[in-house]
Amino acid sequence: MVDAAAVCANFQMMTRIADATGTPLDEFSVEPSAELRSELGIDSFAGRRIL
Amino acid sequence: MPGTVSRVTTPSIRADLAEAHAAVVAEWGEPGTWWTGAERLAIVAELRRARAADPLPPWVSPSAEGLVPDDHLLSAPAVDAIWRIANHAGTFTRDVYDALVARGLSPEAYVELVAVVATAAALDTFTTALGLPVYPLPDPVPGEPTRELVAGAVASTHWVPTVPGGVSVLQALSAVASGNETRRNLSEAQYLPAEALIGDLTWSRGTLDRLQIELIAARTSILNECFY
Repeated sequence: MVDAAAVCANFQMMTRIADATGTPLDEFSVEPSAELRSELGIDSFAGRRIL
Repeated sequence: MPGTVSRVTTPSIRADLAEAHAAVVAEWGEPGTWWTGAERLAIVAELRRARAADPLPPWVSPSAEGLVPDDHLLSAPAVDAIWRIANHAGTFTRDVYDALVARGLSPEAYVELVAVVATAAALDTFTTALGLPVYPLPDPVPGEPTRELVAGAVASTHWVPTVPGGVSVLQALSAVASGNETRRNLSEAQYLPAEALIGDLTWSRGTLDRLQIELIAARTSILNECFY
């Protein structure tokens, strides 16, 4: 439970850092994640940033 | 309720994680690169006020609602940024960032503000999830910010200035060296050590395995509607 809370805490941090700084998806992730992003509706998120 | 026995247990927190959290709390009260210790503590306090407040829609700022008193230690754009990052980070856009900078928040000061807000969100999430009180704030350490610019940091791939190269989210705070170091240390204690980050899908602390760790990470990220 403690380690699960720690991981969750870490991604409360990292998501805020990514969203508030305009962090783009890494070039190496764009193509491999395309199908998954489409299936899960992630491409419609307001913070979508691909260079 | 009569006849009900309640039992409170204090979870056992491993030493490296407790030490990492204690270090972050202490750093909140110390002069940073662009903010004093008192201002950094005010940023944490404002994050807590934002999360406890009746929710505002993303497009409504606390300053527009009269929620920033004239004698606040932080400027109105700083408070507006904190509330947006605290409660609606997934709706942040380039226009929002540009407007904050146009209102007088320097890009470098903004990066440090993001670092403090993000670490505070992490620690408060952790304690709340375990039913513990939030970490108390330390007394501020007197002193002035260093105002140290990081060589080579430019606004190019991100909205904010960054030192180019590497995984982009790990570079996001690179314009403020101390903030980036705090982020790195905290990630190693809460998530994974750097050497396990790429490619080692068997790494474990002996509790969660790597796939369980990544499931929690992905679930948290999608609940926050984080595209990255």
